Amino acid sequence: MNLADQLKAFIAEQLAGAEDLAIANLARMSGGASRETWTFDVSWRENGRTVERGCVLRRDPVLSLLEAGLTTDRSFEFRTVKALEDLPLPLPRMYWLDAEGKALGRPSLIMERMAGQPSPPAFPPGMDAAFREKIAGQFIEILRQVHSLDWRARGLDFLGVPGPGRDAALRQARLWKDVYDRRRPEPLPVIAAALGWLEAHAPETDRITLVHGDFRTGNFLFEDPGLITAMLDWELAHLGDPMEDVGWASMKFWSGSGLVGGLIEPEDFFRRYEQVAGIPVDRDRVFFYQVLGNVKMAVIALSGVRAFAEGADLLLGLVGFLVPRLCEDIADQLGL
Amino acid sequence: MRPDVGDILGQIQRGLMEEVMPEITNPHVMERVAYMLMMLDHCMKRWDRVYPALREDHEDLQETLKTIAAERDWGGAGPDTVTALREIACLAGEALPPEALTSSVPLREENDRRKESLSRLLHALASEDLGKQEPLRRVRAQAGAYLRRQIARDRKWVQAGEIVW
Repeated sequence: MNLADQLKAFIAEQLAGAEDLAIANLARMSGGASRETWTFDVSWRENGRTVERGCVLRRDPVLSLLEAGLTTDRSFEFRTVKALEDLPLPLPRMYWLDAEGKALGRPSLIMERMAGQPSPPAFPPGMDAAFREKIAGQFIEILRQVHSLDWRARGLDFLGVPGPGRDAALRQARLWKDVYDRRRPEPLPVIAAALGWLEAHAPETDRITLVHGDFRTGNFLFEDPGLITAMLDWELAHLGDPMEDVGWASMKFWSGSGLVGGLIEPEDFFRRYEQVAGIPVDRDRVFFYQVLGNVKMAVIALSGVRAFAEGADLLLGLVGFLVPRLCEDIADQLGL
Repeated sequence: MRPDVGDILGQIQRGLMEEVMPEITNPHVMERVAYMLMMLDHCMKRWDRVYPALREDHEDLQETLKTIAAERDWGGAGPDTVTALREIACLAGEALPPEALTSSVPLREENDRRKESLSRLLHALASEDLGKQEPLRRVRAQAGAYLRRQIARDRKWVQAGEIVW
């Protein structure tokens, strides 16, 4: 059975009573190093009327940039975004989940196809100042909403609740050490040095919030003139220290011309986040999470190189070329 | 012997660009072929430099291990640091096996073995109070200097294929 037939059978199973179900315009989208991404339209008749939906399928590849089951889980992503659906956040609606891949071959989720174009990892210099300001304002507002929502009331405990003190920071440091130990294609002493540093310097956390886990430019869609239409890529969402998202978003690695995501000065980003979210930005904790962020990104890239060597997508091999730049940033941060 | 690796890679690149690419209409497949071309470009620029590059790294690594091994005052160091320093002292005296003198894969394995040891040392040093231990500070500085040189070499190595993420 080809993918279109698999989708048709799977969706029909989810929609009891649907008639004349049809899949159209199925096409693989570019990019998507951690997941296969497909776009398609689905239509059916229900109670005498025609329903049409534009969809995106995110399916685990055979071998992934992120080792499936170790760091991410389709059902976690699906349930997390679903739990936020009633908030005024630009999020795709989650339609259907094939958590074990019984119907679609591999674990998959199907979500709403949102309008807008993908944002670059960093907006280039020379972008219109008013545009940058609009995007930066929404970027910070979305982060505020993520960090201020009541995760207990929304049933997000399944993401794992860190204990008090240093637990949130240590959990993340140990998670990425574990991935590094299992999946590195070669030893990198600078990563080992950083992992030791993270263990020794894990800060205490005074509040636990939902953490997006990959909150940055490059992971949202936008439309002119400066409207964020969708915040995407929730596969690394977890409960933890809000400074983790602040640190990740402001990493030098994502910066364009020294600006956070090519949008805003780092200090301005921190100050405005403090004002909007009412959460003080602890610069030491942000620094810790920036080191962790570089390690995490390097480990993701190394894991991708390993997957590439085992026969995965070609892009994963190229991702390995990012590692030296990340190592350089880590060496700078650790004063090596 | 011709065709050598460079000749072959060049012809594959030409075939993909001139014969395969113009026939592709599927954007996803086009993107994959573009990745192949980027990788081929990298291979063409590097294929005859693999062994010398590994050898350069090896010489630097071995010199670093020797310098670290020369630090004898480990007093006050924690057990993990002491274990790693002993390991490095052994490796610093080891000569390369004959197969690593001519072939890149065994040489890379030898380098990796040394980098594993250096990794264990740097991981252990992160828990040490270096303010009170001058010899360990020197050890960390030596290891750090090597890492800087290695990272600079790696950055140069991937320059042709570095992508925007």
